[in-house]
Amino acid sequence: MLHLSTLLLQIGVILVAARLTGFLFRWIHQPQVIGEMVAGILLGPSLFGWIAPQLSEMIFPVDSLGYLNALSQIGLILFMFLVGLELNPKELRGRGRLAVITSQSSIIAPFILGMFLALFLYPRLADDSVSFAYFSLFIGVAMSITAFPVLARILSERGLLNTKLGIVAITTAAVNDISGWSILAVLVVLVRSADAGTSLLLTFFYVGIYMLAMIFLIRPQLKRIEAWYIRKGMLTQNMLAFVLLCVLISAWISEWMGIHAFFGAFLVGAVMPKHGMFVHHLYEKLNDFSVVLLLPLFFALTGLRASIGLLDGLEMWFYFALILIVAIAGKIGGTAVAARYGGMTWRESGSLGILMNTRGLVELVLLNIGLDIGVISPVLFTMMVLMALTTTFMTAPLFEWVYYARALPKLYKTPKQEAEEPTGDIL
Amino acid sequence: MSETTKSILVYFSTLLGVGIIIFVVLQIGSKLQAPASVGGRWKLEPSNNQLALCVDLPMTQTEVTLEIHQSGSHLQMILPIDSTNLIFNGRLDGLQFNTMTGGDAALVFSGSLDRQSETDILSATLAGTDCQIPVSLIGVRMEERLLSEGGH
Repeated sequence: MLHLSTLLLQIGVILVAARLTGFLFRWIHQPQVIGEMVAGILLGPSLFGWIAPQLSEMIFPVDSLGYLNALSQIGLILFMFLVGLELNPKELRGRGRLAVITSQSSIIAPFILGMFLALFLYPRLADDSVSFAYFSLFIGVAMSITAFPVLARILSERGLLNTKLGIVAITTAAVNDISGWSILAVLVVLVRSADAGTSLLLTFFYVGIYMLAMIFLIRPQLKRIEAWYIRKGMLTQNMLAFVLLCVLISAWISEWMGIHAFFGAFLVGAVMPKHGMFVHHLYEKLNDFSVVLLLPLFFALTGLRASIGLLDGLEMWFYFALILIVAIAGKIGGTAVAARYGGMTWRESGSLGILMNTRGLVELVLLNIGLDIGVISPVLFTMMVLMALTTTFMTAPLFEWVYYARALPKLYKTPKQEAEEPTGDIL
Repeated sequence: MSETTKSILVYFSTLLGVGIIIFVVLQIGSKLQAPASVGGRWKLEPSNNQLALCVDLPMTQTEVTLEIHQSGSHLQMILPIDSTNLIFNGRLDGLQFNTMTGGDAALVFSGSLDRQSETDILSATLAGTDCQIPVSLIGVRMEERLLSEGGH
């Protein structure tokens, strides 16, 4: 039975923790979202459940988490729609050899290194209910992911979007996002069809039909909505309702087919016409509600599932260090070497690698899917969450150190100057 | 050779190389053996009366369910007794497991997994200084995994 008071208390506690920690992180010149992610971890067994287990059990009783989870899933569906909305395939055209090389390399290098890492981790942190093929593919994808929204905001805030570095970074991250989610979608289909005993060919057939329908049936309807928006000159509630309905139906269909609901939401965002102010208004309408209210719930649930206490003993911390080293080396190294080969200076190449190393919320979404479908164990989940936090946390200061402060000393802003400028929430 | 042809050759060579590497890693990995899967919920038998020789089991509790959280060979077993949980930590070695609670009056929960039968069977013994005699237990798997919860 739903205890509304418990749910409201949970949401209140999570919101306060997320805003306070987010503010603290903004204060130390980090994206607010990292603070919110950390707040989620702190509300779980890693801190709150450890220092006040009874209070934690009172606020977050296990049998009440289903409602919180449902709300957070809605938030993630909206978020994935927004991630898709931010991707503009037309921007990928004509970006040249450099963008192609770096985008391919920034996926392939960490993916391959992740698969090699899986050879080491599989006998130690997996069990025989998951095959090596699924396990290694998942680790590969987890290493390859880049948080496109975080990267875009970092570049935007520093006025680098239209520089050579910014253009290559955005293109690379966009290709990276599409490739990463596509590989993960295939992996989820493989695992789920193996578990449920459904025909793989039939599932892929459904997925193919669904993609074609999205492109040739739904996209024209979305274009009509856009035309309606242009005529009216504003985003009406009916337009918003239609778009949300498309998102929910697409999420439902993709969940039914055996890929995750998130992919359906992402796809609607990706096929949405990207002209003019329509997308901008749509983004603004949904972003605040999703980011301020619903995403912190997802962070808290992720925190409740991750427990740093599971990393007991040097052996576990050694595995974590290994994961972190492989994640950083694969992403920064793979991208930087390719960018250098493509004609960038070492400093620019390194900066690009550092930007691509940010994993942020996108990685947390992926890790939760991995835990849900049983490909990774809770302790590996915890290690990967810590890796995602660390790589996201290190992006801004490392980028400033390598590129911003040294390459463009005149444009470098002091922390005081930066604090005086208004900054938005960063996903 | 034109620049374009060279680029296409490099691109496809790289793709081929990546494909070969993935194939080789998957081949090597398929020969690796991960620890046996014991994670999930297990219904413990026999009767509560025998279990009560080791732990304070209330008369109202009619069923004991053991939860096992697994990460590789690392195990965390949770035995809910009344409103408290007995937590055993330990390792799996092949099909044998050995776990114990923390604290002074440690309880040891050890045994083995039988995967020959249709349903996995856990044969275990609960022993410790507080136990009058070691208690033998048989566990029957209730479900495969505990996917949505924390723990080992």
